Amino acid sequence: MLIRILLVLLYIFISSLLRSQSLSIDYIESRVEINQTHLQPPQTAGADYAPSIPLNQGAFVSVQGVRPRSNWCLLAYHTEPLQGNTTLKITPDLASVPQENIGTNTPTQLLLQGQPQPLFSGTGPIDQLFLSFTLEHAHVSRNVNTTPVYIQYQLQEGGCPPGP
Amino acid sequence: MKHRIICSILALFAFLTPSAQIIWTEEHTHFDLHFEPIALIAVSQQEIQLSPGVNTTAGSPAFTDSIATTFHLRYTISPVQPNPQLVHSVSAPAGLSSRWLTAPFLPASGTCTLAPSATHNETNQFLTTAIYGHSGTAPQNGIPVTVQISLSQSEYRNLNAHLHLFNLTYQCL
Repeated sequence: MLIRILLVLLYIFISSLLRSQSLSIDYIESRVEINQTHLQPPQTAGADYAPSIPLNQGAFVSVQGVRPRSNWCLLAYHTEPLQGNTTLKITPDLASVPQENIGTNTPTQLLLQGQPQPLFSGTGPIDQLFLSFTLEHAHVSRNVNTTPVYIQYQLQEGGCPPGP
Repeated sequence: MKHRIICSILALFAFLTPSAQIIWTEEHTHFDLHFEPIALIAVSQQEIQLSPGVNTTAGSPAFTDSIATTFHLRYTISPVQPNPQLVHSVSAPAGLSSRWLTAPFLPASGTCTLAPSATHNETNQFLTTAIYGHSGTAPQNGIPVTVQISLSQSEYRNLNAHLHLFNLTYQCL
């Protein structure tokens, strides 16, 4: 009898592992432009870029195939650093998802780094979590031409760890 | 035998329940960030009034009078254009000789120098002034530029309201 119970538990456990969780990230724009309007002051002699530039970019995150009560953590990191000392900040819009889908320890924003960092702590499937992006520390003399921004998103089991 | 099976199942549980969190899935994404070349932006246009702001340098009436006005030219130079040029045009009264005085300025970093002073070429356009180099941190308030116009005594006497205005515009090349 005990063996049967254990086998059933094992089946449930393995089937939960094999359940196909899906993560999709849809950017609004495939190309974001930075121009003289982003100078501070805008269009001014010799001015440099503003220290923090909200990008005309957003992303919708969808997490499907997870159990309604299961906790998960969305992490993000860049696979290639940006030009110069430029950094990218990602801010999840907590108002874009129902309150019951927001898990504990949800970060308010993420400064993109080379190692996975928590971006959003979720519970159950979500449809459209909105992310906004802010460019920081760009300089006229260092940031030129087109540079791809590679971001890897990772969906982990369990909620996000508490922040610092 | 029964104990062995139970132990095996428990061991399998322990193996499948690692202390680290399980990565369910990953998605690799990318978008392009395009920094537009910041072209020379010429936005200044200023009228210089000869009177009453005339500084008499040799008494009044004088053979040579001049005005010296400093104004801020708002511009931004692309770092990807090595030698941007700025043309200063002036609608000056015909027959007046005038000089265009510029002073080098030192931005916060690097060098950014206006070409030497030029003389009015009598085509209503000052000689092309080149701006060399750029650091992106030129003076926040713009470049101080001085326009000096020399007038003969007769010209001075014949000044009228229409001659008082010099309209300077800037054009990006």
